[in-house]
Amino acid sequence: MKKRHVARVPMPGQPGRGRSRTGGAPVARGTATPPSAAAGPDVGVAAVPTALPRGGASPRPPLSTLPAEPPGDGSGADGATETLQAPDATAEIFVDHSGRRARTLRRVASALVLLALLLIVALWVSQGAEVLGLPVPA
Amino acid sequence: MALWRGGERIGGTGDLTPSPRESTRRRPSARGRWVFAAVITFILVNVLAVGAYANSRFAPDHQRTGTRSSDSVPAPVRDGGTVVDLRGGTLDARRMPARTIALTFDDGPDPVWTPKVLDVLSRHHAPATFFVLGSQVSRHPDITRRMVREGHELGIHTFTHPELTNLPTWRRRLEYSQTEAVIGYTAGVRAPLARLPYSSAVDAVDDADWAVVRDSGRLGYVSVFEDTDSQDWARPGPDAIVRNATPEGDRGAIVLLHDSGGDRAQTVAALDRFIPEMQARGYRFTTVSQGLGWPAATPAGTGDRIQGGLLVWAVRIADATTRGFWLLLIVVGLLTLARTLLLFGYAVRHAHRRRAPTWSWGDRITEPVTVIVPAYNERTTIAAAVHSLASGSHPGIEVLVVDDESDDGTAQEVERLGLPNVRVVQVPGGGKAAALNAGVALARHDLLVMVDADTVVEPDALHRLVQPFGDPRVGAVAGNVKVGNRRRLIGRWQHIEYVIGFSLDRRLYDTLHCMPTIPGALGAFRREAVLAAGGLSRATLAEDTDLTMGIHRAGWRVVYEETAVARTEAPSTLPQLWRQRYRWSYGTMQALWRHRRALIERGPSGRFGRRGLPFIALFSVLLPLLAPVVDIFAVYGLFFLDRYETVLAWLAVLAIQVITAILAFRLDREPLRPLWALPLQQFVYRQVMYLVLVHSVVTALSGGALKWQKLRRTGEVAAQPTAG
Repeated sequence: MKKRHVARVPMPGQPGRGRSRTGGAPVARGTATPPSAAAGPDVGVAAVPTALPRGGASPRPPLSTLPAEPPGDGSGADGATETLQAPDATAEIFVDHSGRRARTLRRVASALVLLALLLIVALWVSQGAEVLGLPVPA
Repeated sequence: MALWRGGERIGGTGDLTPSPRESTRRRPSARGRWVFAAVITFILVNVLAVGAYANSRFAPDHQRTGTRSSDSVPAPVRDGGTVVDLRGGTLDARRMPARTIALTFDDGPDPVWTPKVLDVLSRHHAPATFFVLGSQVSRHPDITRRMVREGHELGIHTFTHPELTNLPTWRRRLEYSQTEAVIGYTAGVRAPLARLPYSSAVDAVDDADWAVVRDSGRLGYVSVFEDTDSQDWARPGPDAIVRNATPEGDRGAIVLLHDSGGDRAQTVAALDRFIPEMQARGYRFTTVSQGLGWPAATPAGTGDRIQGGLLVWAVRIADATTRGFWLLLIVVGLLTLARTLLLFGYAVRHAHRRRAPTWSWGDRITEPVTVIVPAYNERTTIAAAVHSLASGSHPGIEVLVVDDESDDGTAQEVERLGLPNVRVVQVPGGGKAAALNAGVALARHDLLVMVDADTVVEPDALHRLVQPFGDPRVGAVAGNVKVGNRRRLIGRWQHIEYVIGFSLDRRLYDTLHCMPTIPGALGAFRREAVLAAGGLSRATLAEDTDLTMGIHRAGWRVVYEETAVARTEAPSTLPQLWRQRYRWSYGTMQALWRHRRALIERGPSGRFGRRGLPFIALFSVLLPLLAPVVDIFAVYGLFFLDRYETVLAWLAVLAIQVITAILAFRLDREPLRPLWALPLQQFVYRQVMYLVLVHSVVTALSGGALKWQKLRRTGEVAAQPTAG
């Protein structure tokens, strides 16, 4: 699944995670403070885009073209606070959230391993019968 | 909607959240993985053992022990009964009738020489008896079938050609029954005749041989010796072979020849003369059974066919596996050799060039820099890291600590330092890439240095690190990172690895313009280059590698500055090391895949893609992935090959590594003392490294999502005094 936006909402069953570690009142989060204008206090709280606009080989669509995600339900400690994240340039590479690839691979590998084990057992049993002098059916 | 932490989804609302049961079911447990690995190892051991057995690696080949007395051999046998039948419990020793020759060929079938022998026999309409090896029959069933199809007789010459007198009874029985089984499977006939390996004329049978002959009789086989030995195995020339094979007068004879075991051109040539000459003298050629008036071979039983089928396929699979491993070993050897030569050539040249008095990057760089330190729960190490950075000798250093929602008081720890040129920014947890992007966005200066929060830099490291920006083409610079916590063996091993990696590999990559990674521990960037590359992406787990490749593709040069030194804290336990390297190798593969289009693009992206990506894939992924074959062969060699040669080969590989390490340490001006740990590195560390890579590849293939995992810091590096 592609991650489009992140809304900070309390997680079901994990009440402690809902609270921002920045503490205090909810902080308005928006665009990055420009470097030249960021000469404020030395310690502070900032909210910035977590991905920078790409100028290289894989241009990213402007944020304005992205579909808006409704905010959180507001029931959490900072439910009113929402951070919009630009999407990553690609989806998570190699990741198959459906689990289909893993299941297929696991089934194929298991079948091959089982077949190999069966052949090994059959081989050793047939040779073992000879070693022990047991009659092999003609 | 979902909640993210560390670049991964940790939960959310609605149907986006997988149920715990689903998650549990989808993820195989670590124990399951180890069981699977153990089963694979078991299968591999079996396959290699079958291969070793089929190649006669288990039994000593012709190492006869004991005395050569022949007191127990009955007189009728010694006096000339070349065909000894003890099947009925009584001795029946027979010989060929007059003017009758039974040609017998041992040790085949051979893919080259047996068909030539069969051609000659066919041309002269001479049937013969082939005493075949079971292992060879398994490998060449077509030739075996041709023998039977053309009217020849098959006899047993054991499965692996051992010296039978040295073997216990059960092994002898196995050698015979296995050969009969594979003959039954491939040719569909029984083979009642047997010939002992290394046997000769019947008058040479001694007590040890006689015990084997008696056993053969009890097992239902007729032992066949020879009247004339052509001695073709010694390759005395066709004339001598013909002379040796020719019986005296008009006596009948069983003639011993070989259709395998080396160059048999002389045998083929001699045969082409011997048969017509003897036919001209009135001799007839028969099989052994025909010569004695015995019935032709009966069809093989179902049991033999099944047993033979299993054996034939086991030998084929084992042979293919062994051949595959040899091939991989050659590939690994060639790649290692190529890499070593490249490292030696380019790294030495790089060091000489950089250390020349005339070397300069350009104008001295004194522009201010912003040092971005992403931090997530780094309370143990952050103070030492920030202090070392803030007190650097470069003019105008701004340290920007980007606290990624730490809950251990990391930000407060930095605040407590009270350093004027240090800022702390707290951002919503989004992982290292997001924190670094925040840092890039908030940095006051255009020269950026990214440093891990567990890394302590030398006072002049930042100044030296940014000097390459004197060259306007340079977009990023890799620093020289060393392992700071070397007290334990695992730290020393990583220290050796880091020194080799930085002192040799990075020099090579620098020279070839394909540096794959600016290390997260210490790297400098032009903001412009970072932006051109699109910043740091969370699409991969190796955001540093991904960014570096992006910078290459954007047309910037990426270089290595060896004099900018930092000490970092390496994982201090094997499980932590596993987790770190698991992420690195997985992330590197992700980055390679993400930038794969560079292979076909034009301009700087294509230049990097066509040179750098194959190079990185070859030496950073493929070579380490194939490396286990060296260890597999080392173990295999100790058991089944010449032990002396195996140990020698292993020591030669180690010597190459030691020489490489010495060169790296010398170039990096590091003391050689830690290298005593290098031989030990071969036994645990190396195996862990390639198992991690195998693990990563399996995860990538199966589509598993790998997490960022926080390593536990000991603070050992932070506690060390800073040099200078």
